[in-house]
Amino acid sequence: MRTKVVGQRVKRVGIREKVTGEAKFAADLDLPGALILKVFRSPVAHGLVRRLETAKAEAVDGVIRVFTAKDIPGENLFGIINKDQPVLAEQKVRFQGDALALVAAETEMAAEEALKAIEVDIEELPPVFDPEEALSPEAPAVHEGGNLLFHRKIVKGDVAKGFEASDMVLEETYETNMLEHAYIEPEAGMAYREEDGTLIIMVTTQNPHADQAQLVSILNLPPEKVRVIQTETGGGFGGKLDLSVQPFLALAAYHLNRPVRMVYSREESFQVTAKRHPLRIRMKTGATRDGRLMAVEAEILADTGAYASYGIAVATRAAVHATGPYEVPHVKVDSRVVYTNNPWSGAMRGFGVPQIAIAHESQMDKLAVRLGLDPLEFRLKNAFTVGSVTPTGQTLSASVGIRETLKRARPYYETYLREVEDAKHTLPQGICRGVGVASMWYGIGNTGHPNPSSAQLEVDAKGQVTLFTGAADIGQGSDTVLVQIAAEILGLPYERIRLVRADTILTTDAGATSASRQTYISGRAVMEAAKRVRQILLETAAHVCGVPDSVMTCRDGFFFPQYREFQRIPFEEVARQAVEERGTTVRGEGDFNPETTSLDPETGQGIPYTTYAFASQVSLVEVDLVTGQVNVLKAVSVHDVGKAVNPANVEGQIFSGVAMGIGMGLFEQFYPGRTKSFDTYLIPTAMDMPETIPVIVEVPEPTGPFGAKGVGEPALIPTAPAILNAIHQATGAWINRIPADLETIRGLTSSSESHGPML
Amino acid sequence: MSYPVFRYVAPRTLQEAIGFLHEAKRSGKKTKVLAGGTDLMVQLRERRIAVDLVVDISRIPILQRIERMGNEIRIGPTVTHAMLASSELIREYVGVLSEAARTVGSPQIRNQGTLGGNIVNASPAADTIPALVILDAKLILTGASGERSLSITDFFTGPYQTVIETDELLTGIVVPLPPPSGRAVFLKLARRKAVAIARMNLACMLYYNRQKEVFEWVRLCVGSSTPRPVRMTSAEQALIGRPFSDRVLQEAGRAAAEQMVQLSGLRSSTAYKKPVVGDLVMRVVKLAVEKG
Repeated sequence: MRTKVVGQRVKRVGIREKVTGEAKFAADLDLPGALILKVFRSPVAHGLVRRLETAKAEAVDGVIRVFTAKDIPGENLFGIINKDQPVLAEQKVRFQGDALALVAAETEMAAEEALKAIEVDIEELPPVFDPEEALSPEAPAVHEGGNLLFHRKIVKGDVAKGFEASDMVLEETYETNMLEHAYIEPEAGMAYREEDGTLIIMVTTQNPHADQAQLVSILNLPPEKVRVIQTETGGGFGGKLDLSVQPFLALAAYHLNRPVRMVYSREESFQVTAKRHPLRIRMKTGATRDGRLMAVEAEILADTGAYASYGIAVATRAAVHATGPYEVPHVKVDSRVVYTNNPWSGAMRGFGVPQIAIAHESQMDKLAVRLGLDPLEFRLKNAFTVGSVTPTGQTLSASVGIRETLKRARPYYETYLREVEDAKHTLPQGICRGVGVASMWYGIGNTGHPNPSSAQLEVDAKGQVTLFTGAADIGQGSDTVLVQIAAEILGLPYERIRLVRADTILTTDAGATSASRQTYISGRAVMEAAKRVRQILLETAAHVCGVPDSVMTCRDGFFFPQYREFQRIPFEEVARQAVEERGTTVRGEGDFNPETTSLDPETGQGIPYTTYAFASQVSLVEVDLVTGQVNVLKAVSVHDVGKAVNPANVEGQIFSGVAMGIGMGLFEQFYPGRTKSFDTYLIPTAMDMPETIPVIVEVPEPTGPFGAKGVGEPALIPTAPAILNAIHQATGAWINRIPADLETIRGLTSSSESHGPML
Repeated sequence: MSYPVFRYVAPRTLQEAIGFLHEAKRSGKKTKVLAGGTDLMVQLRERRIAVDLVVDISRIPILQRIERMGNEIRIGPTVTHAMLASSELIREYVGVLSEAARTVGSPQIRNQGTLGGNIVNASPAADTIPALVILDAKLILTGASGERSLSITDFFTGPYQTVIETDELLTGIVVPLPPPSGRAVFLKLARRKAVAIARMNLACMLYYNRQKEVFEWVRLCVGSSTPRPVRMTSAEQALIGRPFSDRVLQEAGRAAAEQMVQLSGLRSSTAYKKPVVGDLVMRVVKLAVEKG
């Protein structure tokens, strides 16, 4: 289909306001008389609360009130999948940082004074920090139901037979670590009550409608009395899917009937919000001599810390994607997620897939080396194609671009291999280079669960078009993409569409901005809404022209009968006719819920997602064997996105995925209790970025809007594995544990003695 | 997080500044000098230090100059890293200091942070200090009763510890022009390429006599490796009077590694740093010799 707006690099919606600083982020919001909120938190990781004394804090000059668990009118629990986290802990604390009391004060200093004046007696319980220890029967129970949160099983074929039929079987253990999202904007929000009692919560969030539902339950209010409005959001990466400041804001505004505001410091954001689940993965992979994968067996253990958050989703996604984008006849996966007294882990860009990809892509390279096969060809030989059956028994029927991504990556891969070979003798001593390749697949949307989206489009008598969407644009660009889709269907320039976004009173639920789902699912909902509006206007235009509506069409802001463009009528005139002359309400609703089935609890068989994104990445690295520094020189990232609605947006995602992947692979490590800010938590800077070449592959997804799928999380996933494989090619050493930091690399290639003659 | 409450003054003259410091000491007040604030503001916000008075010296013009006086370059303490990195005078005569300043933090930090602040803060990882050590820099400290001058290596007593009195101000950094035969190199090792605290930072200046094929003289300092900055004399000695060869370099590297462990003791980072310091000493010496 030839498109005019979709597929174009249109300017981002709202970019002018962002660049000039006019855009209002949550911390920019203020109302006269707004109170400052601060949270008093548990100093210990595990214990029973014996006494919590707030009287002295309430006596501090400027302090209005101190709230505790008993002030919560509704259910003192939240959690998007499992409700297991208290807003304010009452009897038990489960990690260092659990909220115990909330201070509302006139000034920040008064609030800080009050925190110091709160007294708490906690009877410490033995904590458990290691996920394997947490599974032992003697381990302290973090929650009453035991420490095993969930066990996802996948069984396809018979792995014993698969390994028997294999000529080469490789078993390895991989470890990934706890990571911080490191969004540029810490959690923040403001709340107040309107005269009719409605609570307004303006907050940085990825999930306004789910926030609203949870606040309704916490406050025990009728749903129409709680309105959540998403403010401009400075990134989320999954970390703003859970409630953070929302319940505190709502609780204080509800009781005090005054505006309240709250902004987490960077230290608070680091220490009390979700982290990436650390995974331990034992993976056994078997292949035949000629390079056919026969079996994959994986045991996964994920540490969800004190609360479940998205733990079940992470364990399930890691399991479902454990083979990588390859046909494997025999698969067995056991994926467990456990509670510990660590900071809680939640959603983070990729939900466990960036972790499992390190395992499956390292296995692929190790097998290729042992079988004497080229790693890229080995992948190509096993990669999914239309008709392939996944580990959950799903037959892929369309939009399977993995082979195409590998083929498009191949010329770069071969060029870099040649360059490395040529440069071998000219590089300074102690410096070596290597090339790595890694692939990934990623199911779009929630795993084996319905995840509908909805949207509305309205046109008034003046021809003004308004799109209503509940989808939160957190900087990734859904506003622009959704407006482009609506504009394309209506034959209008995209500037003509006004957007109302992510407000629980004005918009309906579009589901979370997560799982790379907004372009695919909300995009399709917008497309359906726009088609309905288009049909109404076509009928009006046909009536005016005196032709059947089947011959009417619209383009460039005009309606006209096909082949009779001279009879064209401006969009505004058609809108006026429809509303004023014919009394029509020009409004369209659209919704979309991709087909999924729940996964069988014993075998994991089912349809977790309708469609998958695919990608392959080539990484060229330089390793300094003396210092252990890894310098990523090039990253070629090839992504099958179905259709790039906005290629500039897709490229932006790819650049950011490469940056985040370099951090994950080489630098980042969150140490609970020790890591407090960017002082010690190192993320890549612009100087650490390689030359990054984004390559877009478009194998259309029939159910997606204009064929589109998603790219938000896929952009990250292949980066770290490609770097690790490149490090192996450079040094001959395999890295099974990230980050590949200075000490790791230096330790791989030498003893503690000096390199001596290497110089 | 809010800042603690303290009195803040921003004198326009050196005398005024010294007066504030003197008065504060007499009345038992805790004082801190603010130059660029890139360390101080963080320490204040995190309540790592308590102060009654902050004396901001960034508005005293006389402390912001870079000038050549005979055989010396004199640098004011509030000269920023960005000014050092771009100063023609610094680049021409003491380029190694310019190189070191260029590796500090980010453009924002280099625009704000100062040479004086970098010295007085006395972090073992400070990037400019190894360069100043191999340049034989002298520091001028001014108090109510007058000035004193001391060698930069005598200024530090330990990590974040110096000999400066609370009523003294660092008023000048004096760098003698190095001998024309000297070749200098600065090398920084960090976990990432910018906004990074040095894991190790080496400054080396030497004269390798190509006719005689011997090192005539060598000055070497390795930052982030010893509790206070010192010359790596044992490594220097391992080179002086000997030819440029793998064996000599290795001996120098080993000597530096041993000196580091001797001064720092065995720490959790030693397993990494010991071999790396040896290898990087070899690398930095080699780079200096290759400069011709």
